[in-house]
Amino acid sequence: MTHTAVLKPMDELIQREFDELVYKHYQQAYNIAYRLTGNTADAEDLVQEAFLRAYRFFDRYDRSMPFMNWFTRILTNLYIDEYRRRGRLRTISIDETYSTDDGEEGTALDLPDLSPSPMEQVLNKEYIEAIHEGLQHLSPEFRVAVVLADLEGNSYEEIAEAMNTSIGTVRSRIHRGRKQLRDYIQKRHPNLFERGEMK
Amino acid sequence: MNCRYVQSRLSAYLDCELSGVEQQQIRSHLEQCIECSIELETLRRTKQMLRQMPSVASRRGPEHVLLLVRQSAPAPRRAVLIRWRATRWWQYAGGFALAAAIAFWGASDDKTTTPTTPPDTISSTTVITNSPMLNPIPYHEMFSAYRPSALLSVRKSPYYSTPPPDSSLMPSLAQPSDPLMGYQPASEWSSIPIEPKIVESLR
Repeated sequence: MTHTAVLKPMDELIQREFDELVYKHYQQAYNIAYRLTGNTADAEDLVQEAFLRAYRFFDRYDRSMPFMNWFTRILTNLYIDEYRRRGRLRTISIDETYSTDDGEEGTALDLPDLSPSPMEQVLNKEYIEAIHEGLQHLSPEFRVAVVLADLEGNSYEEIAEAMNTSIGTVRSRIHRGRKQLRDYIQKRHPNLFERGEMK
Repeated sequence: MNCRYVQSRLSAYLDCELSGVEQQQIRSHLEQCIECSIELETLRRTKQMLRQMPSVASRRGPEHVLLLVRQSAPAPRRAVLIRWRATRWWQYAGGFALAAAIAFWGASDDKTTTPTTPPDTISSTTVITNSPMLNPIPYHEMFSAYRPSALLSVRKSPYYSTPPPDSSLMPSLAQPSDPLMGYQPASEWSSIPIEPKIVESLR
């Protein structure tokens, strides 16, 4: 019996553990990435790169902590680094269509079918687009803080850990992010803001 | 507590991320201050709208990520290996120091002082030259974690030669053995990996 023979099943176990984590958290990771980058293509690239990085450093992952806490840190760091490197990431309007090489066409945003009435559908689309647009106007640090707090429901402590900063900074970023978002919506879509919430 | 301070804390107040005392102080202030209450309401609506944003599904599943992962990097190792490596430089430090000393001595020493046969009288220089300290066992043998006793062994020197031991008392070289168990035939030492792969069960 050689060492290789002993170790091989263990590597497979680690590999399987990682695969399960990818399957379990891919959708959530994509959702965060999509809200941060603002479009499908960049979100897919970001998630892919973040999972590759997570795999590369998987031996540093502390199993006593939730995987998503650790992974969110990788994802947001990657996003902020990339944002600074490239400047503003490209954004795609909700109405913009894409076409693949196969000739397939569709909207850039893959919005779930909530099956509302036609009128509600128009309102919902307007509402979703307004928030989505507003998020893209925030600085990356504010956007990360707001997305993690309000879309993902993370605590300030978890966000501070993900962003590698203090709770006081997180509190400030969330507050300023929400205020900037509110001001943007009030300015662009005053009637939408007055309505406040969707049905 | 003024309005400016309260307004800077309104998001944290909404999220219940303030201490109990501070939460209470802001609530008391809001009961008396319309301006701050309006500010709070607009922030509450903003938060509400964000929370109602639908989840977005990816056109591609996780499979393409897993495929890329397989192609991109070697299989991950356990954290315990990293810890073990972190301490390894101490072992290497000794090896490097020894190698440097040998190289230095070899460069400065006159080769003619090394006799081919044991002389009757041995000069102090010769003793030092041929001492076990300057004739270490091969590097990969010395630092093997499988054979700690190898650290104490020395290469055979002509000046310390002893009669060959009775071969019947020696363990058979043909005897198969597990590397994790102590004994390993000398002929197979070079095939043993220097780095032990530590196996740890998953939690």
